[in-house]
Amino acid sequence: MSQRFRCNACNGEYSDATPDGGIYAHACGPLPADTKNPARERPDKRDENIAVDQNSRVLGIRSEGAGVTCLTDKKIDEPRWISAVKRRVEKEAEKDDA
Amino acid sequence: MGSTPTTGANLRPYNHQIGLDTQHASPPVDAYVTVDDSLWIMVSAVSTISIVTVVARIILPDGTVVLNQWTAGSANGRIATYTQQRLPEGFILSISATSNNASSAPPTFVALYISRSLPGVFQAAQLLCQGYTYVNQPVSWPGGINVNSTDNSGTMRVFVGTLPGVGININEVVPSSARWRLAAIRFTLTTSGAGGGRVMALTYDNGGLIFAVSETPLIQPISTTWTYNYAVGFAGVVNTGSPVMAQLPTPLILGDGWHIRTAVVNLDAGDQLSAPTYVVEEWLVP
Repeated sequence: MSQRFRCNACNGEYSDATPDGGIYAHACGPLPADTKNPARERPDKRDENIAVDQNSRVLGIRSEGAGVTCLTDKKIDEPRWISAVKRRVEKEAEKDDA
Repeated sequence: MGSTPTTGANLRPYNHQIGLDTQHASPPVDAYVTVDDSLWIMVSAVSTISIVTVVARIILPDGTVVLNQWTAGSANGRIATYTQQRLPEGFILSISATSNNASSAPPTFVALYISRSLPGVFQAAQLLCQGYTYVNQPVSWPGGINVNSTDNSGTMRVFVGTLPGVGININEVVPSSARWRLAAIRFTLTTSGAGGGRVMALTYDNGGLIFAVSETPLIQPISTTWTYNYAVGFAGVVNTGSPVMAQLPTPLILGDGWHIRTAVVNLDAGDQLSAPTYVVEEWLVP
């Protein structure tokens, strides 16, 4: 079941799943340009796309940013698919240490 | 015509009536494996709950044909997930991989390899088969067709992006290990009562350089809500107001990490863009 989230950095709202059952990864856009500054990346930017190292090893999501708030279930603190990826990354790291 | 075909061969009990000369037999297929070899299953999928079932018929040294079945998941989404499976000594007669996806969307790409290396170390010695799979479309070897994930047409997908915060432009990034062709995008802009007229533009960049901009020639007044439809095949902006129908560059192929963004001229802090609806053709690039 998909959940709805609000990004604590950009206030964007999104569902963590697409209608066809795919995962959805949110990424903050840049701060809009104003009279003093051109458009620029947010310092607390969140990017839920998966980061990999040079050996294609999964590292987790690209940037946590300021985190997210689940709007449909207060017990959830991030999209479930991201939690699953993090658990897998931790498991792999433990295996490597051993 | 119309009669039941003869099935006499099926009526005979399986009783090893056909023997194999195990001392002098020629390999029936070129996939002789030993216990030092492994089967590696690579899965890349847009859904993390895609399960691929791999079924192999293997003939053992004593002539017995056995059926082996394994499953592998796509724990990392589109990023390739590799699963290693031990093999007995024998010949792989045939092998297939089938995803539990009900249809081709969201896509699942699978590859089956033979590797002879240390446990946990993947080193492809032979690629048996690879391709997109769903429940009615297995990928198989031998006799199947090996396709790279970007060889043929991709999978058409429709989804809704992020609803931006107030005064924030739309931003969509092509996911890790994906390639998109943007076919259409639809959204609304509700302008506040402040500032000058707004001009809508879509920009496309590779993470650093904007390489194309689709700007409309229309000025949206303050305190209005306009719907914008961008699609491949539109002849350019023909209406003088909402709904705006504007043209997308074509083909608009976007790689992993590239962006689709709005860049609204005179965007006010009180303006609200809606969550955009996208139509994309997607390829997995694991």
